[in-house]
Amino acid sequence: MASEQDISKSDRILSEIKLLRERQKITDVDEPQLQVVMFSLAGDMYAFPGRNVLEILPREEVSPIPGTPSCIIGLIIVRGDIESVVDLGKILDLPATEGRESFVLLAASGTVRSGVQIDQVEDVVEVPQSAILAAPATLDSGIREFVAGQFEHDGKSVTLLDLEKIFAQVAAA
Amino acid sequence: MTGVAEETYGAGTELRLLVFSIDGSRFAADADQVDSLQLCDPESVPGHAVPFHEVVGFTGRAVTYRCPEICTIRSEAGICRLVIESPEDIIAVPWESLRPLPALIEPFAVQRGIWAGIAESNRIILVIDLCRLASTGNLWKMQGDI
Repeated sequence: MASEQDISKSDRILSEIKLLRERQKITDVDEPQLQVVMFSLAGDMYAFPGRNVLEILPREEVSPIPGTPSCIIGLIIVRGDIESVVDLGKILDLPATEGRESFVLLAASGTVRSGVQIDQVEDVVEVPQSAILAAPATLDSGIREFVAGQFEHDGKSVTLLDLEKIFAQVAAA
Repeated sequence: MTGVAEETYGAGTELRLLVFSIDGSRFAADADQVDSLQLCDPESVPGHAVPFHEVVGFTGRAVTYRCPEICTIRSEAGICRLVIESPEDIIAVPWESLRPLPALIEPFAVQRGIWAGIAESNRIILVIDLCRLASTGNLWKMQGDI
Protein backbone atom coordinates (compact mmCIF):
# COMPACT_ATOMS: atom_id res chain seq x y z
CA MET A 1 0.00 0.00 0.00
CA ALA A 2 1.37 3.36 -0.99
CA SER A 3 2.28 5.69 1.77
CA GLU A 4 1.49 9.39 1.79
CA GLN A 5 5.20 10.06 1.36
CA ASP A 6 5.28 7.89 -1.82
CA ILE A 7 2.29 9.72 -3.33
CA SER A 8 3.96 12.94 -2.58
CA LYS A 9 7.10 11.66 -4.27
CA SER A 10 5.19 10.53 -7.37
CA ASP A 11 3.40 13.84 -7.51
CA ARG A 12 6.72 15.60 -7.37
CA ILE A 13 8.16 13.40 -10.08
CA LEU A 14 5.09 13.88 -12.26
CA SER A 15 5.23 17.56 -11.67
CA GLU A 16 8.91 17.63 -12.64
CA ILE A 17 8.19 15.60 -15.76
CA LYS A 18 5.40 17.97 -16.78
CA LEU A 19 7.58 20.96 -16.10
CA LEU A 20 10.38 19.45 -18.17
CA ARG A 21 8.01 18.75 -21.04
CA GLU A 22 6.68 22.27 -20.91
CA ARG A 23 10.23 23.60 -21.02
CA GLN A 24 10.93 21.35 -24.00
CA LYS A 25 7.85 22.72 -25.72
CA ILE A 26 9.00 26.25 -25.07
CA THR A 27 12.45 25.34 -26.34
CA ASP A 28 10.92 23.75 -29.43
CA VAL A 29 8.86 26.84 -30.15
CA ASP A 30 11.81 29.16 -29.65
CA GLU A 31 14.27 27.04 -31.59
CA PRO A 32 15.17 28.64 -34.89
CA GLN A 33 13.48 27.00 -37.83
CA LEU A 34 14.59 26.95 -41.42
CA GLN A 35 11.97 26.95 -44.11
CA VAL A 36 13.02 24.66 -46.92
CA VAL A 37 11.63 23.76 -50.34
CA MET A 38 11.99 20.01 -50.75
CA PHE A 39 12.19 18.43 -54.16
CA SER A 40 13.06 15.14 -55.82
CA LEU A 41 15.81 14.68 -58.34
CA ALA A 42 17.02 11.39 -59.81
CA GLY A 43 15.14 9.44 -57.13
CA ASP A 44 16.56 11.27 -54.11
CA MET A 45 15.27 14.10 -51.96
CA TYR A 46 16.96 17.51 -51.84
CA ALA A 47 16.07 20.92 -50.47
CA PHE A 48 16.97 24.58 -50.85
CA PRO A 49 16.43 27.10 -48.08
CA GLY A 50 13.08 28.78 -48.72
CA ARG A 51 14.73 32.20 -48.78
CA ASN A 52 16.54 31.14 -51.99
CA VAL A 53 13.42 30.05 -53.88
CA LEU A 54 11.45 32.82 -55.56
CA GLU A 55 9.03 30.83 -57.64
CA ILE A 56 8.13 27.32 -58.81
CA LEU A 57 7.57 27.17 -62.55
CA PRO A 58 6.42 24.35 -64.82
CA ARG A 59 9.15 23.53 -67.28
CA GLU A 60 8.35 25.28 -70.51
CA GLU A 61 10.28 25.67 -73.72
CA VAL A 62 13.92 26.36 -73.02
CA SER A 63 15.92 28.19 -75.68
CA PRO A 64 19.41 26.68 -75.86
CA ILE A 65 22.33 29.09 -75.93
CA PRO A 66 25.50 28.08 -77.74
CA GLY A 67 28.93 28.31 -76.21
CA THR A 68 27.78 27.63 -72.65
CA PRO A 69 28.76 24.68 -70.40
CA SER A 70 26.58 21.58 -70.55
CA CYS A 71 25.20 22.30 -67.06
CA ILE A 72 23.39 25.35 -68.52
CA ILE A 73 20.25 24.19 -70.29
CA GLY A 74 19.32 27.56 -71.77
CA LEU A 75 16.97 30.49 -71.35
CA ILE A 76 13.31 30.86 -70.45
CA ILE A 77 10.95 33.82 -70.44
CA VAL A 78 9.41 34.73 -67.10
CA ARG A 79 6.91 37.58 -67.38
CA GLY A 80 8.87 39.23 -70.16
CA ASP A 81 12.28 38.82 -68.57
CA ILE A 82 14.90 36.31 -69.59
CA GLU A 83 16.16 33.83 -67.01
CA SER A 84 18.75 31.08 -67.27
CA VAL A 85 18.03 27.45 -66.43
CA VAL A 86 20.72 25.17 -65.03
CA ASP A 87 20.73 21.39 -64.91
CA LEU A 88 21.13 20.54 -61.22
CA GLY A 89 21.49 16.85 -62.01
CA LYS A 90 24.57 17.54 -64.13
CA ILE A 91 26.09 19.84 -61.52
CA LEU A 92 25.62 17.18 -58.83
CA ASP A 93 26.80 14.46 -61.21
CA LEU A 94 23.53 12.52 -60.87
CA PRO A 95 22.17 10.02 -63.39
CA ALA A 96 20.16 11.65 -66.19
CA THR A 97 16.39 11.72 -65.66
CA GLU A 98 15.25 12.52 -69.17
CA GLY A 99 11.64 11.88 -70.03
CA ARG A 100 10.33 12.66 -66.56
CA GLU A 101 8.08 15.60 -65.88
CA SER A 102 10.23 18.40 -64.59
CA PHE A 103 9.89 21.78 -62.96
CA VAL A 104 12.04 24.85 -62.64
CA LEU A 105 12.73 26.51 -59.32
CA LEU A 106 13.48 30.17 -59.90
CA ALA A 107 16.13 30.70 -57.25
CA ALA A 108 18.41 33.51 -56.12
CA SER A 109 21.59 33.77 -54.12
CA GLY A 110 23.13 37.19 -53.65
CA THR A 111 22.89 39.02 -56.94
CA VAL A 112 22.66 35.85 -59.04
CA ARG A 113 19.27 34.51 -60.09
CA SER A 114 18.56 31.46 -62.20
CA GLY A 115 16.10 28.69 -62.85
CA VAL A 116 17.14 25.30 -61.49
CA GLN A 117 15.66 22.26 -63.18
CA ILE A 118 14.36 19.59 -60.81
CA ASP A 119 12.05 16.57 -61.15
CA GLN A 120 9.25 17.42 -58.74
CA VAL A 121 8.54 19.78 -55.84
CA GLU A 122 7.65 17.60 -52.84
CA ASP A 123 6.90 19.96 -49.96
CA VAL A 124 7.66 23.25 -48.26
CA VAL A 125 8.37 22.66 -44.55
CA GLU A 126 9.89 24.26 -41.48
CA VAL A 127 12.85 22.29 -40.12
CA PRO A 128 14.38 22.97 -36.68
CA GLN A 129 17.98 24.08 -37.09
CA SER A 130 19.04 21.37 -34.62
CA ALA A 131 17.60 18.70 -36.93
CA ILE A 132 19.94 19.73 -39.74
CA LEU A 133 23.06 17.65 -39.39
CA ALA A 134 26.40 17.83 -41.13
CA ALA A 135 26.68 15.85 -44.33
CA PRO A 136 27.96 12.31 -43.68
CA ALA A 137 31.48 11.50 -44.80
CA THR A 138 30.06 8.69 -46.93
CA LEU A 139 28.25 11.16 -49.19
CA ASP A 140 29.25 10.99 -52.82
CA SER A 141 32.16 13.31 -53.57
CA GLY A 142 30.33 14.85 -56.55
CA ILE A 143 27.66 16.21 -54.24
CA ARG A 144 29.50 16.83 -50.98
CA GLU A 145 30.91 20.23 -51.86
CA PHE A 146 27.39 21.58 -52.51
CA VAL A 147 25.79 20.20 -49.34
CA ALA A 148 24.83 22.48 -46.44
CA GLY A 149 23.45 19.63 -44.31
CA GLN A 150 21.06 16.71 -44.08
CA PHE A 151 17.80 16.12 -42.23
CA GLU A 152 15.07 13.52 -41.94
CA HIS A 153 11.55 14.14 -43.17
CA ASP A 154 8.85 11.46 -43.02
CA GLY A 155 11.53 8.83 -42.65
CA LYS A 156 13.44 9.99 -45.71
CA SER A 157 16.85 11.57 -45.77
CA VAL A 158 16.83 15.03 -47.37
CA THR A 159 20.02 16.73 -48.55
CA LEU A 160 20.05 20.50 -48.02
CA LEU A 161 21.95 22.20 -50.83
CA ASP A 162 23.99 25.41 -50.84
CA LEU A 163 22.74 27.44 -53.80
CA GLU A 164 25.62 29.92 -53.67
CA LYS A 165 28.13 27.08 -54.20
CA ILE A 166 26.03 25.65 -57.02
CA PHE A 167 25.92 28.98 -58.85
CA ALA A 168 29.67 29.44 -58.25
CA GLN A 169 30.28 26.05 -59.84
CA VAL A 170 28.26 27.03 -62.93
CA ALA A 171 30.12 30.33 -63.24
CA ALA A 172 33.47 28.54 -63.03
CA ALA A 173 32.53 25.78 -65.51
CA MET B 1 36.47 72.47 -79.42
CA THR B 2 35.08 70.20 -82.06
CA GLY B 3 34.56 66.50 -81.81
CA VAL B 4 32.37 63.64 -82.84
CA ALA B 5 29.31 63.38 -80.64
CA GLU B 6 28.95 59.98 -79.12
CA GLU B 7 25.88 58.05 -80.21
CA THR B 8 23.42 57.84 -77.36
CA TYR B 9 20.84 55.16 -76.75
CA GLY B 10 17.65 55.92 -74.96
CA ALA B 11 13.96 55.24 -75.03
CA GLY B 12 12.67 55.16 -78.58
CA THR B 13 16.02 54.44 -80.21
CA GLU B 14 15.58 51.49 -82.52
CA LEU B 15 18.02 48.86 -83.68
CA ARG B 16 17.54 47.30 -87.10
CA LEU B 17 18.20 43.61 -86.68
CA LEU B 18 18.65 40.85 -89.20
CA VAL B 19 16.93 37.71 -87.88
CA PHE B 20 18.08 34.25 -88.86
CA SER B 21 17.79 30.75 -87.41
CA ILE B 22 20.47 28.15 -86.99
CA ASP B 23 19.60 24.67 -85.79
CA GLY B 24 16.43 25.84 -84.08
CA SER B 25 18.00 28.83 -82.32
CA ARG B 26 17.13 32.35 -83.48
CA PHE B 27 19.72 35.06 -83.74
CA ALA B 28 19.51 38.75 -84.51
CA ALA B 29 22.46 40.74 -85.80
CA ASP B 30 22.76 44.49 -86.08
CA ALA B 31 22.00 45.18 -89.74
CA ASP B 32 24.43 48.13 -89.65
CA GLN B 33 27.29 45.66 -89.17
CA VAL B 34 26.42 43.71 -92.31
CA ASP B 35 28.14 44.92 -95.45
CA SER B 36 26.49 42.47 -97.83
CA LEU B 37 24.57 39.21 -98.09
CA GLN B 38 25.03 36.80 -100.94
CA LEU B 39 23.21 33.54 -101.60
CA CYS B 40 25.43 30.55 -102.09
CA ASP B 41 25.04 26.95 -103.14
CA PRO B 42 24.67 24.67 -100.08
CA GLU B 43 26.85 22.10 -101.90
CA SER B 44 29.72 24.46 -102.61
CA VAL B 45 30.19 26.97 -99.82
CA PRO B 46 33.40 28.95 -100.44
CA GLY B 47 36.26 27.90 -98.22
CA HIS B 48 37.01 31.43 -97.05
CA ALA B 49 33.55 31.73 -95.46
CA VAL B 50 33.26 30.36 -91.92
CA PRO B 51 30.05 28.58 -90.90
CA PHE B 52 28.35 30.65 -88.20
CA HIS B 53 27.58 27.65 -85.97
CA GLU B 54 31.26 26.74 -85.72
CA VAL B 55 32.27 30.07 -84.26
CA VAL B 56 29.23 30.73 -82.11
CA GLY B 57 29.76 27.53 -80.18
CA PHE B 58 27.32 24.88 -81.35
CA THR B 59 29.17 21.73 -80.46
CA GLY B 60 28.58 18.04 -80.72
CA ARG B 61 26.05 18.07 -83.53
CA ALA B 62 26.03 18.54 -87.27
CA VAL B 63 24.31 21.67 -88.51
CA THR B 64 23.02 21.94 -92.05
CA TYR B 65 22.13 25.15 -93.85
CA ARG B 66 19.10 24.78 -96.12
CA CYS B 67 19.51 28.15 -97.78
CA PRO B 68 22.97 29.48 -96.87
CA GLU B 69 24.04 33.05 -97.46
CA ILE B 70 27.45 34.59 -97.10
CA CYS B 71 27.30 37.48 -94.69
CA THR B 72 30.19 39.91 -95.15
CA ILE B 73 31.22 42.14 -92.28
CA ARG B 74 33.74 44.93 -92.64
CA SER B 75 35.50 46.87 -89.96
CA GLU B 76 38.84 48.59 -89.41
CA ALA B 77 40.12 45.14 -88.39
CA GLY B 78 39.42 43.70 -91.83
CA ILE B 79 36.81 41.59 -93.55
CA CYS B 80 34.99 38.57 -92.21
CA ARG B 81 32.72 36.26 -94.16
CA LEU B 82 30.30 34.06 -92.27
CA VAL B 83 27.89 31.46 -93.61
CA ILE B 84 24.46 31.97 -92.09
CA GLU B 85 20.99 30.66 -92.86
CA SER B 86 19.10 33.01 -95.12
CA PRO B 87 17.61 35.78 -92.92
CA GLU B 88 13.91 35.39 -92.31
CA ASP B 89 13.22 38.96 -91.30
CA ILE B 90 14.59 42.41 -90.63
CA ILE B 91 13.05 43.88 -87.51
CA ALA B 92 13.26 47.29 -85.88
CA VAL B 93 13.52 46.79 -82.15
CA PRO B 94 13.24 49.60 -79.59
CA TRP B 95 16.38 49.73 -77.47
CA GLU B 96 14.43 49.28 -74.25
CA SER B 97 12.88 45.99 -75.34
CA LEU B 98 16.29 44.30 -75.39
CA ARG B 99 16.81 42.19 -72.29
CA PRO B 100 20.22 41.76 -70.64
CA LEU B 101 21.37 38.18 -70.37
CA PRO B 102 21.18 36.48 -66.97
CA ALA B 103 24.31 36.75 -64.83
CA LEU B 104 25.20 33.06 -65.16
CA ILE B 105 25.00 33.16 -68.95
CA GLU B 106 26.55 36.52 -69.76
CA PRO B 107 30.26 35.68 -69.25
CA PHE B 108 30.01 32.73 -71.65
CA ALA B 109 27.70 34.35 -74.16
CA VAL B 110 29.67 37.58 -74.49
CA GLN B 111 32.71 35.58 -75.59
CA ARG B 112 30.58 34.43 -78.55
CA GLY B 113 29.32 37.91 -79.30
CA ILE B 114 25.87 37.27 -77.79
CA TRP B 115 25.07 40.31 -75.67
CA ALA B 116 21.29 40.53 -75.19
CA GLY B 117 18.02 38.75 -75.78
CA ILE B 118 14.60 39.59 -77.11
CA ALA B 119 11.67 37.85 -75.44
CA GLU B 120 9.21 37.18 -78.23
CA SER B 121 6.03 35.33 -77.14
CA ASN B 122 7.44 31.93 -76.13
CA ARG B 123 10.80 32.20 -77.88
CA ILE B 124 14.00 34.07 -77.31
CA ILE B 125 16.02 35.77 -80.01
CA LEU B 126 19.72 36.01 -79.16
CA VAL B 127 21.19 39.37 -80.18
CA ILE B 128 24.69 38.96 -81.54
CA ASP B 129 27.49 41.40 -82.22
CA LEU B 130 29.03 40.00 -85.39
CA CYS B 131 32.13 42.19 -85.12
CA ARG B 132 32.86 40.91 -81.62
CA LEU B 133 32.24 37.35 -82.83
CA ALA B 134 34.75 37.89 -85.62
CA SER B 135 37.28 39.34 -83.19
CA THR B 136 36.96 36.65 -80.51
CA GLY B 137 37.03 33.98 -83.20
CA ASN B 138 40.09 35.60 -84.79
CA LEU B 139 38.26 35.68 -88.13
CA TRP B 140 39.28 39.06 -89.55
CA LYS B 141 41.13 38.85 -92.87
CA MET B 142 42.73 41.51 -94.96
CA GLN B 143 41.14 42.20 -98.34
CA GLY B 144 44.04 40.61 -100.20
CA ASP B 145 43.89 37.41 -98.14
CA ILE B 146 40.42 36.48 -99.42
